[in-house]
Amino acid sequence: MKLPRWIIPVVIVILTVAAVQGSKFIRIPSAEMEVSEEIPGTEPVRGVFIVEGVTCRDTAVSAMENAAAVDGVLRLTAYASHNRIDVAYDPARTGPQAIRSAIEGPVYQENTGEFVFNLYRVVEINGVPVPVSE
Amino acid sequence: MNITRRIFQISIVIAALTVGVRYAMGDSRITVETYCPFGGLEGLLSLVTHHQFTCATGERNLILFIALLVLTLLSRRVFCSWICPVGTLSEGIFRLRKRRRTPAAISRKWDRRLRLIRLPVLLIILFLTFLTGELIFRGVDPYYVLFSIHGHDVQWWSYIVIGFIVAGIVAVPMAWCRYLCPLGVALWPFSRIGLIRLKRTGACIQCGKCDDACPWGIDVSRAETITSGECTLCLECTRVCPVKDALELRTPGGAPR
Repeated sequence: MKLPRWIIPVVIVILTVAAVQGSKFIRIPSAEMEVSEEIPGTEPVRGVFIVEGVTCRDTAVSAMENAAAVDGVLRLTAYASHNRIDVAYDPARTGPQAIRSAIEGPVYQENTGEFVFNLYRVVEINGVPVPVSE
Repeated sequence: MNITRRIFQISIVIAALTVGVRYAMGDSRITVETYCPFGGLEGLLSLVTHHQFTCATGERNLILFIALLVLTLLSRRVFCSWICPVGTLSEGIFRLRKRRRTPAAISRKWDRRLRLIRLPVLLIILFLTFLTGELIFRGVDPYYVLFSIHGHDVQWWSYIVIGFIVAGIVAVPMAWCRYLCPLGVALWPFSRIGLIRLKRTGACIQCGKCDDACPWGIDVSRAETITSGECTLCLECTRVCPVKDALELRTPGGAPR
């Protein structure tokens, strides 16, 4: 069957738009961490943190390790390509600001034995942009 | 149609540069890697075996790679000539050349042999990426080096490597795409069975202009149907063809003559 030449750009546009838009609805975790078990009778809350600096699995794990140090954090799931860390926490023991401070805290570098500051910055919590920390 | 393709190519180069500059200036969290379909292939093995992506690759890379496979099955390697910014750069250099055919020093036999280099390049990259969990190719990836605006992993020697690649493209048309591009070779088998093909009709006068115009060195005038996996449907052959409808886009089946 003979085809018109405009079929090529049409196919390209349709597939590209479908792929870019479709990828927004698909999330596969880059890393997951079980920190502690929830206490029976409590209802964990999920916080969604968009973190600048979390761009790959390694940075996600490093930021998650910081958050895991907070008492009350139960589970962490990172989606590095979305710069996103989902945190399940016990609201009776901690809150988003404590988790944010922990994520933005100094990060220990095993290869140099030093702490590095300002590696990660939380820019959004549960869809709400947050101002830069002092 | 040629203008449409140019608009596609230039728009994508501008878009890639915009993404690179915005990320470098801290205005955006999206990197040029986010839209690289090869990242999807690099991360695929790790995703299957370890259920997680390699380094900075993610869902978008994977979806784009799957879409690219579908695109290639439908319309061959149009990605290379309509979308890929490195292909656009190569083609730009190709157009600046006076002599557009492959240099005589590289015989047809050697040209075919050299194209095989892409396969070990692809396998080495995939194996080492899987082994290290890092995008080790990033520092020498022309797309990343040119469009990330001195991004992560780009070193001084990255520019020397890119200089050699550009010199190679100046010496041999589309040298990077022909002999080294790992994504091109990954798409090759899918392109070979691609649905939309160029067919030569009985109107052809065998002038050979299409052969000279093909950036990939395909002898268009000698084949009835262009089945080569290298055909990117850039339609340069149809642009220079002096006879109307001597080259047609067709699906398999049904003789054009």
